Amino acid sequence: MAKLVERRPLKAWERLNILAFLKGMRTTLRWLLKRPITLEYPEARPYIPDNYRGTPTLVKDIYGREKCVACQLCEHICPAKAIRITPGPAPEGFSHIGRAPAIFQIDRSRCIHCGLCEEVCPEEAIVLQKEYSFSGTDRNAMMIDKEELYEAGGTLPDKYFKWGKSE
Amino acid sequence: MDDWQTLPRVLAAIGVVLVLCVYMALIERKLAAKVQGRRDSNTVSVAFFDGLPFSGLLKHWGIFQPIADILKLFVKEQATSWRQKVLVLAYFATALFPFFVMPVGMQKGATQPLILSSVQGSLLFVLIVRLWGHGISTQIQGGRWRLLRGISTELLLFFVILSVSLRAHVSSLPLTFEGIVLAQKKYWFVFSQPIGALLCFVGLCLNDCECPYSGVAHGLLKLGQKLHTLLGALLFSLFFLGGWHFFPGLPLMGTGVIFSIACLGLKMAGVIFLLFWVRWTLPHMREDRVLAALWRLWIPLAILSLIVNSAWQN
Repeated sequence: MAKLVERRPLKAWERLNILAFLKGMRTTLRWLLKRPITLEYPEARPYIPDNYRGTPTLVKDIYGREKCVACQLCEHICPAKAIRITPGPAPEGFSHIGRAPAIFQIDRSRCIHCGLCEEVCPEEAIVLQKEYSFSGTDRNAMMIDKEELYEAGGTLPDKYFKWGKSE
Repeated sequence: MDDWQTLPRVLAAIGVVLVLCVYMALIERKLAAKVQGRRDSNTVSVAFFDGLPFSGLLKHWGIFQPIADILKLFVKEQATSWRQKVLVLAYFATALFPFFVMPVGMQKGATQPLILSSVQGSLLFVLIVRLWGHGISTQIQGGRWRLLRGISTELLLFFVILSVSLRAHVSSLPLTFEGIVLAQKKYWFVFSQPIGALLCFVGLCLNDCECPYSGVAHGLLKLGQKLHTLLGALLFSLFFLGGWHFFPGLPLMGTGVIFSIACLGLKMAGVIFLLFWVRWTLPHMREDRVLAALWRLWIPLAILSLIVNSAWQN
């Protein structure tokens, strides 16, 4: 049940609003002494925590092997259908892996940065970076293919070499 | 003062007052931004000036913002009717003219304060010109509330002026701004008449005009408002804060005329800050409540304080 608040009539000195006015002055003074909470955005950037979900990128291991094995789990789990993968043959010396992506496309204008692809990836090959600001003149500019994804992703220096080291 | 000196002096005074007003507007913007928890203007820079030292800092402080604002006013849609133009010019004039009869400083040992034209009845002149300004702003903005508020505010100021000039009269000083300031040589009126100071401040807080125009007319009206704020601060400093006296109890420290102007300027800056603070605490006041407060509280209080003041002095 809602709480009933009795609204008593204001007393004469309360109707002068002097106390209310002084309270208002105190509030504005407090704001005057505060630092502004807004950022001067392009010059000052906000702090981005390490677990921030920015743009998804592909990563290589420290020997330069692309970690993605084109299992297409990310493509299937992606709720926005932003990922398109066409599997191809595995690189030289890694025929035991089976396959690698021939085409790997992410549509940044579709991506909702949910991070499910990163979570589902058994190879830790797709990683969400801290980058959050993109622009392009048309939709095609937001379609990122494999080369750009590796360029943006770089190397993930983890210690596990599930498929053996590069020969 | 020779006649040929008058024009340059007047022009210099107008220039100083206008530049003060323009940068007062900038300071008010900064204050408003602070009160509202946002950043103020910090992106305007001058072409070919960017690489020079301090240009980044000046840009960050928004020093060039008023220049950009003024230039912008010329390319906006202008007021079309002569009535609007004349009204705005008249409002601007009513804000500017009182500065010509008000002293801004005094050299030690001099008989005359620093003043453009020392006329008899300058107190009444300022009051009447301000009242006229209220009339004009009513014409601009419309509404009888506005006129009533103007009249009531000036009535309040009238009682305040009476009350402070009584003190000057008791010390057998002339009934001018100079006389009132000289009467505060020993102690400032803000200490001996705190109620009067409060009343004067309330009167000054209620002095603004909304702007319905665009273009240069808007700029002039805004400038007129800032002039009124500056005028209010000058009035308050002269009436209650001892004018160009450095400290209550001390006569005039230092000898320079610059020092006296600096003293007055510092007091005015304080009053302007208070006025801006109140303005951004109460950005919009309901006219009926303002009038109710004026006629139920402030004006009776003014009359009462005048009576008490005059009874106490005799």
